[in-house]
Amino acid sequence: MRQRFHEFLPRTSHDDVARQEFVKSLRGFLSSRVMPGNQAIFSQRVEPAFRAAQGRPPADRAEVRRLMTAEPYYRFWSAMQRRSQELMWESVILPTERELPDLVQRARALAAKPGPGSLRLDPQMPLPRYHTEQDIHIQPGGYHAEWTADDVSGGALYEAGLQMYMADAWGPEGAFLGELLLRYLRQRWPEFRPRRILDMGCAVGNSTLPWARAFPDAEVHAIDVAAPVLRHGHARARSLGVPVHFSQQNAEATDFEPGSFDLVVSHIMLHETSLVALPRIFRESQRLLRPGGLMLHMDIPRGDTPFRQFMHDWESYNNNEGFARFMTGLDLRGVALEGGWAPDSVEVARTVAGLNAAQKNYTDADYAFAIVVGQRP
Amino acid sequence: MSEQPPRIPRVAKGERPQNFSDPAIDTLLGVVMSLVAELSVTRDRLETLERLLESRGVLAREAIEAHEMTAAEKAERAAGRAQYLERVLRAVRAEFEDLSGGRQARTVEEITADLAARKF
Repeated sequence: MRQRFHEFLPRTSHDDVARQEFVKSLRGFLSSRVMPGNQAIFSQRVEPAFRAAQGRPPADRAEVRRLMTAEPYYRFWSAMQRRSQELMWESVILPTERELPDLVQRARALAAKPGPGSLRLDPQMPLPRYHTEQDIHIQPGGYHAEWTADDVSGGALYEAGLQMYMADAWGPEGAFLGELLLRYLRQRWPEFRPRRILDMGCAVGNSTLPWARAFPDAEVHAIDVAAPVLRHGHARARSLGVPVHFSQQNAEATDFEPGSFDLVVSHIMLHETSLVALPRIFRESQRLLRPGGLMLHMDIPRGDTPFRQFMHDWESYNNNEGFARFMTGLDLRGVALEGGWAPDSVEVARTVAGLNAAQKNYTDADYAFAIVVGQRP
Repeated sequence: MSEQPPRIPRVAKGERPQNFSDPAIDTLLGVVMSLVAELSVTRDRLETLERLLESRGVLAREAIEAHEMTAAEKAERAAGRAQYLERVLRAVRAEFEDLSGGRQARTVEEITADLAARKF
């Protein structure tokens, strides 16, 4: 059995833990020992052979993809990376399923208490197709599927998966990206003291809680389209004593009052939406902000060379992140302008996360996260 | 009749990628990796047993479940698992190791041609 930092993670047996630790070790091995071989093979053999034949380097990620997916080394890494993700979910489904009726009961009991925070679900809200077409991250059922009444399994699985996905990068509370974005805000606007904060696409609230802890006087709201992650996130936040108001809403159009937030954030949500949804999300963010309020939407690195772009696109083809590859090379500022932002009020910034070799799944270069930064005039 | 406990599917909705020319190889690799995982689990369990046998001289089954490792023991185990993966998955890295170690060999055909031409 392993110590859990809150009571809404399923209890694990010795072998559950051994399976999860194996997956973490396997993914660390693949990232640090096997994945970098793709770059070596490309630079030392594949690209030189292509240059010799064509008199030019591969033009773009599509051309790199054609070359690399024919390579046995790449194929083996790719097949094993996919398998590690499947094994990751299997290792958390076993204990979650075993304990699900109890997890649901405990979440119900905690939700029945008066506070802190709140939970507002909308069973009538249509789920966007970018969630229902594929189970994102190949998590069976994705964020949204319900296998029992008041299901929390989508959240319990997601949170347990985070602990293996990038080795120990997320930290025990999964606060990695919330803290990264918070650090960016503090460096650039050290005096900014938001009184009302909205986190869009919050999943289990793992990135929301750092904001609530950093600004304890602020009223913090968190929205997601999927009920299971919200139920879990609400129970989790209550058990940790952090007040957050969760509601089931689509970031493209919420029911909050215009100008009612000082700060709107999201953490790696954008690449799980669509080209239709993106400008709407930026438009909605602007609508929700008071004049002078800040929008910070952070998303995953997409690579700065055709080869790295090809590697970062791996999840689009192999991990049910269908939209992620559309984000590669996308002019996010242009999309924000399309969403109604004025040219001098929005920009794309980058912040580099300090990650070790075991934590970088797709390239051994710096992981530079993009941040769409907007300040409402 | 008792209510069926909820069941979570093991397989995600979405097209499964095919990495190899024959999809059976993808399936086979899936099975192999499950075996690698289960062997790792067995190794961990044996190691836990050994530690307990050594430290107590008595084996209680509950003790395995209750066993909490120290940070140092966890690190030792993770290092052992990394070495295990190096051994089991050696074949996957072979080409990368050739490139890294400057030990790229010429093809059998090239060597044969040289031998036939009495180049060495």
